[in-house]
Amino acid sequence: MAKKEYLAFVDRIEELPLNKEVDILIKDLAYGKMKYNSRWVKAVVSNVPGQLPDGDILRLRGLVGLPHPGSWEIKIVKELGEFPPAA
Amino acid sequence: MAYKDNREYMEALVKTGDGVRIQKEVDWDLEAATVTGRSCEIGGPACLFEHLKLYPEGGRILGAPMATYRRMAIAMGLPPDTPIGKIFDEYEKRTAKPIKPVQVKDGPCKEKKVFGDDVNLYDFPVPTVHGGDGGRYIGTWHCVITRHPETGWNNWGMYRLMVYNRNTIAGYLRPFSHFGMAFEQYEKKGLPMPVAVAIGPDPICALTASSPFRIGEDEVDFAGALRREPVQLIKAETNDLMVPANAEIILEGEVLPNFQLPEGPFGEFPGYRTQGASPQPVFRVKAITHRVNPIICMSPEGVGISDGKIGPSVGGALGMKERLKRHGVPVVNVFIPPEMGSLVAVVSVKESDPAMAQKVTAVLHGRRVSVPKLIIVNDDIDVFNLAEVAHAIGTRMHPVTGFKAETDHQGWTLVPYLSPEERRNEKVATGVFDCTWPAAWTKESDIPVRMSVKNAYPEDLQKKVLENWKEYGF
Repeated sequence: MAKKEYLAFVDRIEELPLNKEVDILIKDLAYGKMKYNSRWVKAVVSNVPGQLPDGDILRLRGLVGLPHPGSWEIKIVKELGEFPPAA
Repeated sequence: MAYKDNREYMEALVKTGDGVRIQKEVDWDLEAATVTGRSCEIGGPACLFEHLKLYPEGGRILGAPMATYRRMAIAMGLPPDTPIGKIFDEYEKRTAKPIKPVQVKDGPCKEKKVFGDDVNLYDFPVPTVHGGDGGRYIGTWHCVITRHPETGWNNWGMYRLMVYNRNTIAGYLRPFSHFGMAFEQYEKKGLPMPVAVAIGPDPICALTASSPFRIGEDEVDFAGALRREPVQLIKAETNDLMVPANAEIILEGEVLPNFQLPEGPFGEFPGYRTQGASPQPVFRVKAITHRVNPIICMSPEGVGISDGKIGPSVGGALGMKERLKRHGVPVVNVFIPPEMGSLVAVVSVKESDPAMAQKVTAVLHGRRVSVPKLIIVNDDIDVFNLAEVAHAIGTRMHPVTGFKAETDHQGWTLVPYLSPEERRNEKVATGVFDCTWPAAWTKESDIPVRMSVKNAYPEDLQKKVLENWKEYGF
């Protein structure tokens, strides 16, 4: 099955926890009417290709929207509801 | 006669070559914005995308509806080639006599209605405006309608709106904005604020929403003045707000109190994407009414001349002129050139005064700064002519005494040159380029004589040359 693609914005990439569960706001990049729909999920993120064999592709962008270099993967563990906690 | 909607307006734009209907299928995901962005960068026409991928019947996108002064002139019912200064004069004259709206019982914006769980913003071809933005933006040239709970002030504003999910929008709705003043009252009580958003109102309604009118003034009255006939309003379905009856889409709902979602990043009107995503107020959409095959307006903010730079420039400049006059400054004209990212105002004054630059700066930068750089010129310079303004900077501004910089003003943090620290602290650095001749200089001996055709030759010779221009072989 083709991998899905998601997008997340992370201002400081060095602060993104890797290889452990993290609550993260992602946007669906699957082409369709709901492209860029937001989802609040618990997931594991890795920057090592193939480390999450059943994971999907994650595109990461920084503060001003430029892509963070590297190859990122995400494995969604569960949906956390519609919104992140109140900011 | 005013254009009742964007459909009539678009027909007029096509006739004059200021609009183009695009029949080729285009992707709402960046392609429509790329086409429109290029059109803005080359001074091209407004773009009506009539066939959008995935949305064969679900709507259209009108890119850059008012991204030139020609289009503004057309929207105001003036000849397309009306000089910018004349557009300013007409705008000033018309807005001096506001016209109240009229209420109607039915209107095109009620052709289709969806409520509650059936609301789905993804039913419309909401564009992605720039690669790397935080999402799809349904509001880049539109009208956010709110009412102050205590004063009854009906505010129309333009604040960018990003789709979060099928019925939720996060908006760049700043606390110091007119929206924020009403929302603060609701938030203090922990109550949601009723809101409506008109997507694709008629061109003058959108122009008015983008323009900075005073606190307590109903923008719809000025829209009536600019249209020279009242705006038709109709009651929203789920709250008491009044919305433009001829708008393409009306979103109705509530702004949630004490709750924010990440909004952005977004490439803004100065031509840069400067800030990251930030927590912003959340608009929960409870109902949508719309026309059949509705048109979403899109301003592709960027380096090119966009609606976001043209629209507010007139009202913004005239507001500055009015403030200067009120403070006794002998101002002649103010212009905010869109080519300078809307971050520079050129102010022409009648007389030189040793403290003129300080007076102008005190008035325009004394409170919150909206335009951080000022160029002050004598009134022999036409502020609407950028070549003349650039010549004045090069020839009249003394590099030691003519420039003044200040820091720590309150103001927009979308200014690209600000340091990350200044942006975080919402502090704006400003600059003033004083291109007026020193007051102590006399015309007879000190002020250099300008060698323009208008200044350097006898009037009768100028007249003769103009009359014989073709005979010279031009």
